[in-house]
Amino acid sequence: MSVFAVGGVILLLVTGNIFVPFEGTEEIEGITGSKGAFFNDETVRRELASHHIKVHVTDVGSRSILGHDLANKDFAFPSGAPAAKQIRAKAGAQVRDPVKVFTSPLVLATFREFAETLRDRGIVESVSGDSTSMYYTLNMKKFLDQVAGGARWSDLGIQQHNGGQKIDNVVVAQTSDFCSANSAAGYLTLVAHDRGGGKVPTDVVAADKLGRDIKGLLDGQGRTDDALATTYLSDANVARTKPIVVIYEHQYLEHQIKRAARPAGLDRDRVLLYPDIQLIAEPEFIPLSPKGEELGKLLNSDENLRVRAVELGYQLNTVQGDGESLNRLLDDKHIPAPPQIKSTVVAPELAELEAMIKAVSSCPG
Amino acid sequence: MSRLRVLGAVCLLAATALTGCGSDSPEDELTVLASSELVDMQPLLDELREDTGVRLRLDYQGTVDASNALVPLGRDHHDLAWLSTDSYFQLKLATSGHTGEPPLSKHTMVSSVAIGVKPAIATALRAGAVNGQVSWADIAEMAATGQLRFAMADPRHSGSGLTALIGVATAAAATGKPLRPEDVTCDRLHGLFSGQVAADTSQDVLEAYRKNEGGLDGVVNYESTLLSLNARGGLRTPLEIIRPKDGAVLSEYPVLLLNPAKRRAYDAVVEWLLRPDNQRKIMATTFRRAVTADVEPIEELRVPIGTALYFPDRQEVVDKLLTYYESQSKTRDVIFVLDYSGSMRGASIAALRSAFEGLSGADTSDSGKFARFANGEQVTVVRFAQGIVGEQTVAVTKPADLDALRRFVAVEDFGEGTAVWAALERGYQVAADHLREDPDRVVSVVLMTDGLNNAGPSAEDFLAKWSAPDFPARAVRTYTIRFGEASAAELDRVATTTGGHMVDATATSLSTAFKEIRGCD
Repeated sequence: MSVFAVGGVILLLVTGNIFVPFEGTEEIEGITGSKGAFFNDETVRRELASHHIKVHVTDVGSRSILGHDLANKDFAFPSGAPAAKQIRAKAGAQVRDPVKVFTSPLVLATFREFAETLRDRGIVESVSGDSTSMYYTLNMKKFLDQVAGGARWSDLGIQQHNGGQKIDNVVVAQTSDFCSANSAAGYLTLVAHDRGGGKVPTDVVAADKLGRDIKGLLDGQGRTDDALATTYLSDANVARTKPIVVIYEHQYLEHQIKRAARPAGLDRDRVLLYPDIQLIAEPEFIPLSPKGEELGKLLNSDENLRVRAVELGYQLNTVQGDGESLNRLLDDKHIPAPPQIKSTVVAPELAELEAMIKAVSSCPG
Repeated sequence: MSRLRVLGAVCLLAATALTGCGSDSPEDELTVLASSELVDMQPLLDELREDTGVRLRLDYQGTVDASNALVPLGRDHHDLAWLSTDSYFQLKLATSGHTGEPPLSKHTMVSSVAIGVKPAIATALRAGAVNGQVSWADIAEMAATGQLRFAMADPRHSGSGLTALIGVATAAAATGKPLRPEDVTCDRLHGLFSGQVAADTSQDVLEAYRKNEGGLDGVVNYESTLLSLNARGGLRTPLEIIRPKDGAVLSEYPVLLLNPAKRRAYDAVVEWLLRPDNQRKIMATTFRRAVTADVEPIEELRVPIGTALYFPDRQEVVDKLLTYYESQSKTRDVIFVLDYSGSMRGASIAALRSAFEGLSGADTSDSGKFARFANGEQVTVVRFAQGIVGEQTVAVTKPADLDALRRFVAVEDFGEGTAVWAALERGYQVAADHLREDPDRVVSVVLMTDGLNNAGPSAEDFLAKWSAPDFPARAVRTYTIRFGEASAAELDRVATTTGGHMVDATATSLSTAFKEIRGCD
């Protein structure tokens, strides 16, 4: 019986009912991209429960939110600005004050042997200067030149770092679905910026042309997977089937923060590549009802939620500098600080972004 | 606080209601269209029911059959689908023009296709492989020479069969990328499948192997089902599991919500399946790998599976692959119509001899291993100059049969003149004779010439005859190989008109051209 009781407690914790199981809990319905995971975090659920709030989310991918019926939703939570803009336009008068709580840069996540192979070729540089760094900076131009040339991992010498094993797959960064994911659109923007000569297109015709030019750099990955970050952080042998994946920094840091608390310590096998020009994703919480608005205010003001966001690897969106709380936490846990952001890409306008997405991928509807 | 916890827990247990005490009525049964191998989840489903109050009632089907049943959406009335992979379903859904919200989908566990073989076969495979690292090409070669007979599920019905087929086709194409339509060539897969004994689903495959352990050498199936087969005991010899170095197509066992009204129960099921303790139980019970972080793999799974062989992103590619697969079970009959005019003397005949030696097993490159003559195949060589100067047919059942063929090709007996199109007509007569004997075989003609037609009918004459409805074996395709001075335009036109294509050996080599062109549809 006690076993069952324990199981029951866990379930209650998870569903967020622990503090007020019988009365007055407000259920709030949200539609999200990958940031929906924030509301499924146990600590976040508990904190919200203490405010008599229970959040239920449906993660459909940021860009797919637009295709869903928003009338019965209390909020939308896309991972980036372009999708947010479209959702605000669609929901019209239903929209209340949007909240930008936290941010996180787009990164290319990989494993040590792939990073070191790229380092041998001068495509990445180790932030610590040696082969133990958790972070590398990526020369996007050199990287895309390899992708464009159809280089295979074996051509780049993966054998030197992989126990003599060849890997004959071509080098490519794998993304989620361009049609549905903000992160994929973000990576597309980075590629467009580089191949467009250091700027993004400013008219639809140019965007369409550039999109078609860079299609080959983006679509060599078969059926895309919308659980890239989850796969990357699960069984390492499974994760290695996709040598480079485009995810958000916070997904990686959450993993390392958890690892820091364990006897085994930090994960030195998984490493991040930071493009020399970065794209910072700004998730936007868009309330669509009074209940949603209430939750948005709470996200902005509740200290426990903000602390938790940092523990989940996010940079807080604050006036005094986004990364400060995060860097303090990482320092406390003896996790090296990620490289400083030198410059960020100026995002294309919506119409241009859409034109490029249409050119590289066949999205339904 | 602790009082409240216990109270809540007890209440939840008593009610076995998903949404907690005193709220909505329990949704306690969900019908699930499930891949056949998920029968191994049954022991855990009782626990799932105890913990969540949701009972899953699984109806089993091959993954491909299930995917076909699900599109268009709404036709099937199960609440959930739980498939080894939803890639084929998603491609079909997109192709069907579906524009509404796709069903929610969540990965629950992972496995990949491998081959389990008897220890002696494993030893032989490793001995023949570069650095002892076995590739699908090595497996194909052993199958083509009749040394490896394996059970594998039918890709037209089963997920394990389909992912295996995609995996080997991708490995055979060797582009390091997802398959494109032009990469799908059956000649590369024929050798491998000559060793296949097909069964409908993954479960049937295991049954087939258990029943006929003496007559089979191995099983192609999910790593997880192979490990289970060994663990369950009952085999005379446990299988050695080989994960080919080419990599793997992942099967991620998504649960899909088909009936949106069952959302709460779906969430509870997914949440339960993804809890780390349950991921561990799933791994220990079924040998499938965890999809969540923080689950240490069990001993048997601490093995690399290489990089991804991608699932194609276009349904067209998968369909084409399945069509090619269908032709694999039929006898393949190739008629080579070869130019033995004077200009073939010297280096050219040496190149031709070497090409045939390559196809008979001397070519140890991966592409050579895939393209070689396979057991069960019938090969005819028609030699021509001004007229037909020789003809021999060999049914390949053992290596010595190929020796006879090689000897026949090597004979240096050249004639004057080059009657290309008369010779091709003869090729079609041979094809017609063979089809009369066995209408169910797959016959193709390969025409190689190094010169211009200077005797007999012209290409136009040939095509004029060919276009008559009663032309013998008209449906047989011709593949042409251009060598030396031959006319690319004519060879291309005739090949294309019959449904085949031309390969230009002047751009590569005869060996490469023969490998490329072994037409079989």
